[in-house]
Amino acid sequence: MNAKTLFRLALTTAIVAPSVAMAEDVVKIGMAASLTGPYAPYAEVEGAKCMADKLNKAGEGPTMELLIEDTRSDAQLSVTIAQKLLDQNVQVITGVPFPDSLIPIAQLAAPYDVTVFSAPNTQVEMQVAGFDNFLAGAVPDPVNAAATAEAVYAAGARRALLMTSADAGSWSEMLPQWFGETFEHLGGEVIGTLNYSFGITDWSPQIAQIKAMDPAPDVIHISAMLPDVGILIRQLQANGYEGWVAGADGFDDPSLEGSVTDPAALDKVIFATHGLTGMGSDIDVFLDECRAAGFPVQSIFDALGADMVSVLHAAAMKAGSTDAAAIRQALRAEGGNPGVTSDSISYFEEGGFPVKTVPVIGFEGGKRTVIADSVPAYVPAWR
Amino acid sequence: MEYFVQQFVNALAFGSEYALVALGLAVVFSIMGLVNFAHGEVIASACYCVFLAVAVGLSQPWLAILLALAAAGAASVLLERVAFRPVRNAPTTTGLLTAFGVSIILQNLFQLLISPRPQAVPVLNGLNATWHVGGFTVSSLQVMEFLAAALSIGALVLFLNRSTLGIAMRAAARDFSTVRLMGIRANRVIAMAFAISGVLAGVAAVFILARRGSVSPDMGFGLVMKAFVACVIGGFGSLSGAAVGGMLLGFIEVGLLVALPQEHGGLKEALTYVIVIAILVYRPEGLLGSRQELGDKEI
Repeated sequence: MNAKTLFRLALTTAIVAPSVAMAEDVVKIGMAASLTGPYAPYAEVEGAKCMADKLNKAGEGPTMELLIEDTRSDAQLSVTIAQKLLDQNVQVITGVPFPDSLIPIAQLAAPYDVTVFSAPNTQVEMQVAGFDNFLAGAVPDPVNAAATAEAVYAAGARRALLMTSADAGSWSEMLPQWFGETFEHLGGEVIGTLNYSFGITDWSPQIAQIKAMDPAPDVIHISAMLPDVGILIRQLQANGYEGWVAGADGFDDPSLEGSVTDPAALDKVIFATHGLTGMGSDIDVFLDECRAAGFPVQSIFDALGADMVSVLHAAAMKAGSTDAAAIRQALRAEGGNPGVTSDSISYFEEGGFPVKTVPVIGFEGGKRTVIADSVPAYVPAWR
Repeated sequence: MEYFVQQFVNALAFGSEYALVALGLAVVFSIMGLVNFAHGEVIASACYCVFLAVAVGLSQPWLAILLALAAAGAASVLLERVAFRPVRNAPTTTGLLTAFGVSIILQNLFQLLISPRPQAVPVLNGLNATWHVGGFTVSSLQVMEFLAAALSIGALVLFLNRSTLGIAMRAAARDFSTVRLMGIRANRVIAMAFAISGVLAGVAAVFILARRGSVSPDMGFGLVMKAFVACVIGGFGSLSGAAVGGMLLGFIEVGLLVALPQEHGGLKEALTYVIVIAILVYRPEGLLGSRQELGDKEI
């Protein structure tokens, strides 16, 4: 090897080596996100961006890079975008948080050994499917339902009416039934099931059915989204219903409080969610910091997005690598990693979803209060 | 008995809402042959105007109602001028695609400029009270919506039969070229059709807003799809057909909800369309539509 060749090799190394090092020190998260469309209110993007910005400014560990594209809440489009993001060498990818998007994305990502991480996903289909490369950021629906049932039963409710819809898969159809199963396990009674469709602006026919029930329910459980649930609550109360209205994370949006004129109308509304917001919690502090930094975060789902970035960053540091499989292995190691919704988010126990407490939120004079924040003692069998 | 009376009132209210929106679609279709799928976004525009007005201090419900009517009328006329007039002479499918495009653009504008989240608008919540009439519980909103739909239809019939512009609109619906040859300005007739359609959207917006207490970007789209079905049942282009179709659709939906066992409740939408198809097999032109020659397509 002559001097000229050595010089060329040294020059090439000088140019290429830093870029290789930089590439290895970046965790790319491809977000096929619902920036528009019906699921946009539940998008986790701004929280994820805020956490990435915070970690990158702190300067420790790998750089967190987000590649974000709008799916318009369309499962089919999300799969196309996922392929594009996979071709851009991401280590982690997200999709519309429902199985019709996440199952094909998980299949697409498997040959690349890329992790599919859905921060707001709660549906059991993804866990039952058993993809090794899939991780959810939230606890599954049966756990959520069980926590709500415990809280409502403890509040004195004994006769439950379940409102189910096939419009959002098991989240809207099975979650109320898991609530019912737990409620009956505790000693309550499920007195009926009513079917409905999403997008209802007038619940009068369903309310007439409820009023005709004998005995009347003292709790109605529904897993639906806003503004539908806000309309339901208002119409139920206008028709003299005095029992509880129980629900899930779809209730957890600041517009719930705005949908009623009288704050007392929410006094018998209760729902299980992913973290405490709207009551000066650590999550609220984080969200306020994000707003101050220019990120238009709004709800608990932004905190779940921040969780995703935070645990991936911590796992990459533990693994000492930005390789997707190594990060996944570190995420599933004992000990957990710090997030925004919990000090320790652990995938060691379950592999595909975290073990966390489930906050159950109620209202007093229109203000949110914590009814319970624990892991439910009984969870219906769902696997 | 009380239960069935209650559900009958509910069906009337559902039908009134569908009829109001279907009339808005039918007025424009009868003149231009355009199915304005952006009509739902005209409703949403009116609601967002009220939302913005409330944000800057509007607190009087009657002012909010006037604003909704004016905003919907203005939005509808504006859409005609900006989006539909340039494609007026294009094939029907171009107009259809333009309407879908306008609908999606407006939804995205609401999402990006305001928020994808529902925004609370409680200013009209007071309209939604519960009245107890002779042992029956009736929503004030349901009664007002039925009356508003009946009054709107009556006013529209009077306008179309008694005013020069109304008669010109009816004539234009039959033969636009002849109306133009008689010296009536096409732009004026079409703009009036869109203005009437917009005001009808405004009336619907008031009731939707009072019931929902919030606005969201896609709030009008699903309703317009229902109104489209109502127009088809009644006979597209027929104003009375739109009203009848809307009412019938309301009764079909509530009737199925009452009649179907809960374990089969998921079939409600499918069965609604089975009934709609059955009606169309019996009356392909719709209940009050006029028969068209189909030539070789005739069986």
